[in-house]
Amino acid sequence: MNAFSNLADGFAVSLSWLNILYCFGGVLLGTMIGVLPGLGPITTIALLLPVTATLDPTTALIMLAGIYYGAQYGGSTTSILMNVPGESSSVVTAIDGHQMARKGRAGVALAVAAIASFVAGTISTFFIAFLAPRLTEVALQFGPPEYFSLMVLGLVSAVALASGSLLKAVAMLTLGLLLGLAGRDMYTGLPRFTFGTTSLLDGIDFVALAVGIFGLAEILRNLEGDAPRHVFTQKITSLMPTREDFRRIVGPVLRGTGLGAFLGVLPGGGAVLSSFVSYTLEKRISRHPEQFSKGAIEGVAGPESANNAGAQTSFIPMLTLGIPSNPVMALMIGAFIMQGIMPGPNVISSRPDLFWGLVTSMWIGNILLLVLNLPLVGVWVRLLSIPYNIIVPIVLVFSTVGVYCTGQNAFQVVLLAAFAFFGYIFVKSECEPAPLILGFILGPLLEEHFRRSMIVGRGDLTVFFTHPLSAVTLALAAGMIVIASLPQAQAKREEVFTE
Amino acid sequence: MSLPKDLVSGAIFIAVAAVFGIAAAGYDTGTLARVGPGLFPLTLCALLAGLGLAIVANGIRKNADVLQEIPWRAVLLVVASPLVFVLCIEIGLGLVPAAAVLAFIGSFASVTMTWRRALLSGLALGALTWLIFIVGLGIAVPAFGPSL
Repeated sequence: MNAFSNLADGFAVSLSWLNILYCFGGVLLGTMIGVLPGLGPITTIALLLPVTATLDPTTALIMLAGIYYGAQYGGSTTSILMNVPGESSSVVTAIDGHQMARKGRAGVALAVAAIASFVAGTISTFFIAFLAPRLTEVALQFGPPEYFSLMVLGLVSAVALASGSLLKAVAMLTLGLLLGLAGRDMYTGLPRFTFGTTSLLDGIDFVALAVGIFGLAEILRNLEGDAPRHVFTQKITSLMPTREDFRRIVGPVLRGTGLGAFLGVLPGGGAVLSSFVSYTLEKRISRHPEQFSKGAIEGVAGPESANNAGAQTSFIPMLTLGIPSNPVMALMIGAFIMQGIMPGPNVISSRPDLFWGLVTSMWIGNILLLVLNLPLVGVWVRLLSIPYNIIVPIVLVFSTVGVYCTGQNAFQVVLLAAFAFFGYIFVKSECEPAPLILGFILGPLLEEHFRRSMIVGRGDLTVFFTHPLSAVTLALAAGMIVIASLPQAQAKREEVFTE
Repeated sequence: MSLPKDLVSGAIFIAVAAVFGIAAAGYDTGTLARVGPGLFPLTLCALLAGLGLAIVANGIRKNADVLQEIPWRAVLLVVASPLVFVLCIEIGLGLVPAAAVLAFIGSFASVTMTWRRALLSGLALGALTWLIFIVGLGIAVPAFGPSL
């Protein structure tokens, strides 16, 4: 098995007309929705999940991945043009990107963001192609205790990296784990938390939860300041970066890609962390740190390549271990499960077409993004001026009809309404929803691996420590808890997230 | 009405832990060698209740940070309109009319909405629902009228 022949097989799948079409559709829709204010990648994916449910698994996942980087790019566009980051990973882009826009260099900032994303996307596609099979081989040796410990580490890092109160993040996570258990117990068939209704035997619909908490609750949050928005009206003139610009972005792009590719693989990592770290790094090593936050092109190029690389390599733990490192990957796992595929080390051997098709489609998606975005900048700008009162009913209809159509179960729509309400109250009381969705996806898996570990270890809890890899993983998790709860770390967290 | 953030969220966590805990009380916890369906849920409920209490305690101890103004009209409409959609489906209006009603009612979540616009968005989104979900995705749900 070598990476090149695998990639070639993958391209054979991803270059089929149908898959290119859906990849294109995903990237286009993702960008379109991502550009709309207040709708980031998580919301976009959640909203479009039902639409992909009827497609063939490979095509569906290719489209969802396309939606993901499309939405991410859309978020960067709003950051640059309006200083309204569509989602947390483009918060940093807004700092210098918007300053560039105000100096009349909006076109260049957008072009640099696109080029940086493309370079990062290309490099990380190859990174995935080489790393994923290795990791799969390792993962195949894992038993239940290893999986259990890895999931614990994943959950711990998600909590440690969440913004705001640690206590609340753990509570949201626990709530998610609990909600994930609803439905029939897989060992005994006992219906749990169904409260007497047959509608809950298959558990809480993951689309209802995701759409309620990320889609509708987000709408409510945006309706708070229900007033006409300030829109960037300046005409975008030149898109082309100068030779000098190119010279300045080479370093940041490569460093950003490296950082992003590395951080994306780590549990709890991904696009957000990568972009923050890249920005800090570029600012620190720059010979002109005073230009940062005043429109430094490096401040756009670095984070944009880092967030794209991180976004892409965060697929690695999801595809090889079946463990989501961030909420977007939790949604992807949900999409896999909806398609009847359990993500994990077996996917690569049992569905090589899907695996390599998806990996190679990422690169194609990045090309499509590049050719799509720059010429269409004018269209995206016009989308920004859509009044919010038109967006509200569109999102409402898509969420509700989508949830209803996935299971044709009216009860799940009732749950959607409840999740919207509580999701909003949680946001208002500074409880981040991301750990909840991770918990929801991992709840049943965590329980399953725990119960299996107990069978393997004959009821002895030390099984988690006698398996070396499991012990190391748990030690790492414990280390993260200790670090995250140190007062200095708490202060640092607040500083990073408020900056 | 001003509610401290920590009290609100803590209370929700405690309430969920209580409701789920009561439901899980009847599940068999088994032994560690043979873990029953109740062990994991009950552990989580206990943990959640503890966390909820800690959050509430935090809220009482600290100078309480209160919930900012909540746009009740928007909350009410966004939460109610999916329920109205369910009602329309249950009485057998079919997917397209239900979606149109949903869009119409939901439109008013924004205070800047006008009747004309809401009506238009109802019609347009009804049509779009038909186009995307019925024609495009071929979902086996009656577009108009009751299900069989």
